[in-house]
Amino acid sequence: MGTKRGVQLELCLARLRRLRPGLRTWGLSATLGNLGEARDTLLGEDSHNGRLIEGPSARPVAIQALLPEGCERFPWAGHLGTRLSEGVLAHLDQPGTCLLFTNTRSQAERWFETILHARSDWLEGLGLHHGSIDRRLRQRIETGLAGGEFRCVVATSSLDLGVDFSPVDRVVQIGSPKGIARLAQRAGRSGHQPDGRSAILCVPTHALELAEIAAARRAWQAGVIEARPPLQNSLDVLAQHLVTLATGEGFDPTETLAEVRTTHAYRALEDSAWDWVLAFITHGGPVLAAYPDFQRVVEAADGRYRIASRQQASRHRMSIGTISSDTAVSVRYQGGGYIGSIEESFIARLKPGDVFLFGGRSLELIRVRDLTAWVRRAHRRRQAIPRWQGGRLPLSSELADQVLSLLAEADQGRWQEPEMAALRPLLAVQKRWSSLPGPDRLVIERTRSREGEHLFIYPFAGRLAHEGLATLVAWRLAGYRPATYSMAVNDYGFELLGREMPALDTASLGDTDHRRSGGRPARGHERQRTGPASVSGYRPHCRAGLSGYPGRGKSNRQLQASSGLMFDTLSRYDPDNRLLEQARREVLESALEVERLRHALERMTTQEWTINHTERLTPLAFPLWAERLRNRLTTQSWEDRVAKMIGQLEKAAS
Amino acid sequence: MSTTDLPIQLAGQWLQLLPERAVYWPGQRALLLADLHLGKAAAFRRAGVPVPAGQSAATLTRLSALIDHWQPERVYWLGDILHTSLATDRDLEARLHAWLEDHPGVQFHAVPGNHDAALERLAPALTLLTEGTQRDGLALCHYPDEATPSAQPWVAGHLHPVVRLSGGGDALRLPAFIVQGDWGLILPAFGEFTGGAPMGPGDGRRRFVTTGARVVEVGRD
Repeated sequence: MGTKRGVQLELCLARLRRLRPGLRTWGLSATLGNLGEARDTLLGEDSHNGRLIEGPSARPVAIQALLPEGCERFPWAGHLGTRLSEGVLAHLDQPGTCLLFTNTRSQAERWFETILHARSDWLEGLGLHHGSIDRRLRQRIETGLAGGEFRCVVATSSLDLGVDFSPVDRVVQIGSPKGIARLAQRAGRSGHQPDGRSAILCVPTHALELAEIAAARRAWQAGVIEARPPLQNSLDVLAQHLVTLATGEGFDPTETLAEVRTTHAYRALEDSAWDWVLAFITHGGPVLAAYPDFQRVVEAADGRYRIASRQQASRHRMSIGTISSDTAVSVRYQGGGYIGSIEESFIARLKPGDVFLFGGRSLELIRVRDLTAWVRRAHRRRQAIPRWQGGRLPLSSELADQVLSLLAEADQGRWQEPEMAALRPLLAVQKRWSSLPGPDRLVIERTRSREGEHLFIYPFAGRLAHEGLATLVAWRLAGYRPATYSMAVNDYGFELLGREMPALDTASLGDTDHRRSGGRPARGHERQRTGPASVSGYRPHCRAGLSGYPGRGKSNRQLQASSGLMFDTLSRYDPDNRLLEQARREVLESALEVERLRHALERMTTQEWTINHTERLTPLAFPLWAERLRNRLTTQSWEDRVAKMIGQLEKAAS
Repeated sequence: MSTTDLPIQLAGQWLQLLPERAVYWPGQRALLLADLHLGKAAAFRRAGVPVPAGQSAATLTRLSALIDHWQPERVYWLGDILHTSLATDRDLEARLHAWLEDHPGVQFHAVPGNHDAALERLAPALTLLTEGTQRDGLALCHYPDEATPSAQPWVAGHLHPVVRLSGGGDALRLPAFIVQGDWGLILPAFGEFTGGAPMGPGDGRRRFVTTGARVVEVGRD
C-alpha cells in the first residue's frame, strides 16, 4: 500500500479476478490509518461488496524511553547516542533474545561495532541485518533468530515487514521513531508473553527525541495512526505489467483496458495515457522517428499484443520489479567471498587504501572495477561508515502534531510524561531565550553570529517538506534583495544563513500559492530524480552490470546508463515522454512531500507568528546549526567545533 | 569560444582546455577528444530499452562546429569513439563515412578504446594508432596510466571524469579535465549520452570543470 509494489499487486489481482470471477480477497493490517481506502485499493471497483472486519482493540504496546541521567541540555544533531550505550547494554544483559532497530544502515553498523566492542564474548550470538548485507547471510540470521541462536540482532527496516519469524523477548529502537505505525510494528516483534504486551525501549539519539517518544505513546493510546495513501496512475508499472502480459499469451487492448480500470490505481486512467503506454511498449513512443530499431511488443494480425522476440521475453523476466535504487556495487574479498552491496555514491568517495566499516567488518578498499569493490580485511580501526540513502525518512505528520501538542502543554507548565519531565531543563532554556512552538504558534528565531545572520523557522512538517519550504523562503527573500543563502533542515524546522537577512514580510512568506510565486522546487527535483526515473522500462539497465544475464556477463556493460543520464537524455530528445511527467510528479509528491508542504504553508497562515531575536543559538536552533556545519567540515573538526559551542551555550544557560 | 578556454602546460606542450569538453593543441594544430560513444542510444534500443535517437548526430554536429572554429590539421580521438561494433550498426557506419568525407582537410587519428570494435571499417579516412603513440613527447592513450608519477607524459580518456560541486544544500555535477601531477591529462567524455565518474581531489591532482561556456579550476576542498 502506497508503493509501486502495491500497484503491481492491484494489477495482478485484477487479472486473477478476471480469470476467476468471484475470487475472494483478504487483506490484513494492524497499523494503517486509512482502512477504508485500503479496502478500495485491495478490492478495486467491487469494493462496495467488501467488508471491513475489526478485531478487538489493538494489543497494548508499552513504549518506554531510556532516560539519560542528567539530560544533556543541548541536543547534538545526528549524534549517534552511543553515550547511552551503557544503558542499552544493561538492557541487553537480561536473559532472552533482543532485536535492536536503528533508522539507518550506518547507525546499525555503528551499534553492531559498539556492542561487539563492549561484549566481545557475544560474537557468536550477535547478528547484523540490513538491506545491503548478502541475502544468504540475512536468511541465516532470520532462521537463527527463530531458532534462538542469536542473543541480539541489530537491524534496520529490512526486518520491519514481511519477514516471518517467532517473536523475540525484547525490542530496542535507536533514534527517532519517525512514525507511529512504524514504532508499533517494530514493537510487535516482541511480547507474545502471557500478558500479551509488546514492549519497546526507545533510545533517543538526541534530547529532543524524547518528546517524539512521548508523542508516539500518546498517539498510539489515542488510536492515531498514519495513513498510507495509495499511488495513482503509475504508467511505468502499467507498462511493465503489459509487457508481462504480452510475454504470456498476449493481450487484447480493449479487454485489458477495462480490466486495468477495475483497479483503484487506474480507475481514472485516461484514454490518451493508455494509448501512450501502448505506443511506448510497441515502438518507444508516439513519434516513430525518435526510436528506430526499437521494438519490445508487437501488435499481431489478430489484434493481440505479443512480445517481439524470445530474447525480449527473457530480458523482461530478468529485470521485472518495482524497486529502484542507486547503482549497487558489490563488495567482495580479493579471495572471492561476497560480502554485500553498497551504493556507488559511497564507494566513489573512497580511495584505494581507505578503511571503511561494512557488514560489521573493517575493510580496506583495494580497487573498484566493473561494479565490484575488491577489499581485504583491515587491522586498522574504521575510518568511514557508509551513508546509505535510506536515512531521509521524515517524521510523520501525525507524530509531529503530537510533539507540538506536548510542547504546548509544556509551555503551560504541564509535564505529564516522564520523557517531557526529563526534557524540562532544556525546554525551560528554550522558553527563556525564545518561545516554545505549538499547534497554534509558529516560532521564528533570528540571531547573528560571526557567520552572518541566521533565520530559524520551526513548522514541524518533516525534513522533506522543510527542504522545499527552506528553498521557497530563500527564494522569496532573495526576491527582496538578491543574495545567497545556505540552509539546513531537520524534522522540526530549517535554518537559512545569509550575510544579511531582510525583515520578514509575514504576508508574502506564508503565501500558499507557491506556484504563482515561482518557488518551483527545481533543485530538489534535480537531486531526487534518480528514484522515479529508474523504474520500469529504464530499470534493467541501471543495474545491468550487476544483475546481468546468465552466461552473458560483461557484454551487458554496454547497456549501462545511470537514471540521471536517462532523464537528461529523455528531457532533451523526447520531452513529451509521459514517464518524465510522472517522474516529476512523483518527486513532488514523495520526495518533496508537496502536499505536506502545502498544508504546512496553510497552517502557517493561521498560526500566531512569534519572531524572537535571540542572542545565541537556542536548543531548537542548535541541531540545525550543527547539521549545516557538518556538511562543510570533516568529522574531526566538526566534533571539535560542536563541543566548543556546547560549552559556550551551557555556560550561558546556567 | 577562444576567449573562454584555459591553457595548461604538460611536458612542455601548451594545451588549451575547451569548454566544449575537448582540447586544442596548438603545437600539433590538433583537436583531442575522448569517449564519443556514438551509437549508444541505438544499442539500447536494439536491446529493448526505449532511448530516443539524436545524440550521435548532436555529438558529430558539435565536433563539426569545433573543427570549423579551430581549423585543425588533425583530430585525435582517444578511444571509445563508438559504443558498440560498427558491424552491428550499418546505419552509423554510413553516417560516419559521410561525415568524414565532409571534412576533407582534416586528418583523423584514433586510439581504439575498449568499446571500439570494427573501427577499421572507417579506413582509410581514419588512421588507427596504437595505445601510447607518441606525439611531441606526449603519449596518446585511451587508458590513463595509474602509475604516479608516470615515466611518460600522457593524454587519455576512458574515465569520463566529473566533479561534484556542492554548497549550501545545492549540488551540481560538471564534466571535468583532470590533470595528474605534471605528467597526465584525462579528458571529459565528449559524447552526449555518457555518464560520469566522480573524481575527488587527490595528491598532485588538479581538476578543471567545464560549465559548457567556461573552464574553471576547482579547489582542493
